Amino acid sequence: MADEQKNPTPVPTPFDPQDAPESIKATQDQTVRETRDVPVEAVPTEKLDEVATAIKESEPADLREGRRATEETLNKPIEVIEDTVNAADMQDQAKAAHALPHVVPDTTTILGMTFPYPIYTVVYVVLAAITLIELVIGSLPRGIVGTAILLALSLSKAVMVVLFYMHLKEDSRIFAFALILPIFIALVSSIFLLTVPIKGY
Amino acid sequence: MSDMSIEHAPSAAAHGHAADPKAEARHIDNMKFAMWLYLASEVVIFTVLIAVFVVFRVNNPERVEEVHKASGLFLVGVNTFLLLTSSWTMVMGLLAIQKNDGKKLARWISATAILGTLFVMFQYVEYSTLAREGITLYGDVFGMRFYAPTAFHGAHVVVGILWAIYVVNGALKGKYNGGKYLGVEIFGLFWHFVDVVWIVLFTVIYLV
Repeated sequence: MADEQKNPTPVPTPFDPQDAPESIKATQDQTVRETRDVPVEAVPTEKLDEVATAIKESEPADLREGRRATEETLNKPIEVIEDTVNAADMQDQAKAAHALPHVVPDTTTILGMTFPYPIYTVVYVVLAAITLIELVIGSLPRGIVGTAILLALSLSKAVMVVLFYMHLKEDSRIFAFALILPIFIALVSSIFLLTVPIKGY
Repeated sequence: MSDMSIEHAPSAAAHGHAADPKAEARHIDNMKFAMWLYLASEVVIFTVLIAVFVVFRVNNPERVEEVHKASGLFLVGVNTFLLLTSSWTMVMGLLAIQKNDGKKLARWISATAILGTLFVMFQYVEYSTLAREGITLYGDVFGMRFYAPTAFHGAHVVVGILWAIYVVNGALKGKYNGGKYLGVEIFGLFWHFVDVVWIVLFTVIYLV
């Protein structure tokens, strides 16, 4: 290190990267961990410069082992970082594949039957049919059962639009919280409000 | 437009950023999440308005039934189908641009805008009918509870129509293609949300 500061000329590369020995070439696409597993002795002596050769020859075997052990310890944090980065990378790649445009096919197969329309059209027909049923039930005298059926049909329609038209089926489920949380709070609030007497005593 | 030399295959790079699919995916996810958060704020407003109506509905069933008799289901049924159909044309427009057909996109979204306009017109007719029956904003306690959610929804349809015109204009100018249609998707989220709100309003206010 001190030598480098005194002498700022670039350190000569012991070998031409294009013409590196096979043992070095093999390590070029590897991770830090894999590269470290290749001992420095694997580098042919004639390719190392004088200083490196001198260091290599002057280092006794037991010191070398000690140095290896120290390096291994020091490398632990690097390995942790490497693993984290790799894991994050894998996740990102999965996400990138996930976010790729999702084009629905021109035909739709439901329960073994194939319709010559995209899923959007099939969903539209179902929504329209449910709406017709709702209008029929809505024009009948109202009762608690009718109300429950109407609310269930309405909920199923809303869920279908959100899943198929707003693509929540493929997109991140985090988006669903944006809808569900406020609705849940409003439901709880409504129940609270309904317990308030409408007239004073 | 459809014979543009842009690749048919959806390419993330064509979204206008450097060819980094990961960064692009993040950008799309962020934009969509921003829209969903905005929709969450809308949900809060609409659910408060709907909750107010529901509490009134439970405590004053006779008054609401009177109004149901006065308004009838025909007009509101037609309006429901108009909005439902507009949601379908919206999503078919998205499908068209995913297949790199900008002309078809413009046609589908124009249909969406026209259906939305019809919805607002029929809503005006409905309001006039109700007003003649004496159901007005300050007529009684029902008026405000009915007009606030439906008119607030109608205002969203109006904004949606303007947004649709903007998207049609962009489509005609070739702003979107098979790999670049985030703007259409974001508008779609808004329009379908307006449809979902109507599905709930239709049931809670007119049917139940």
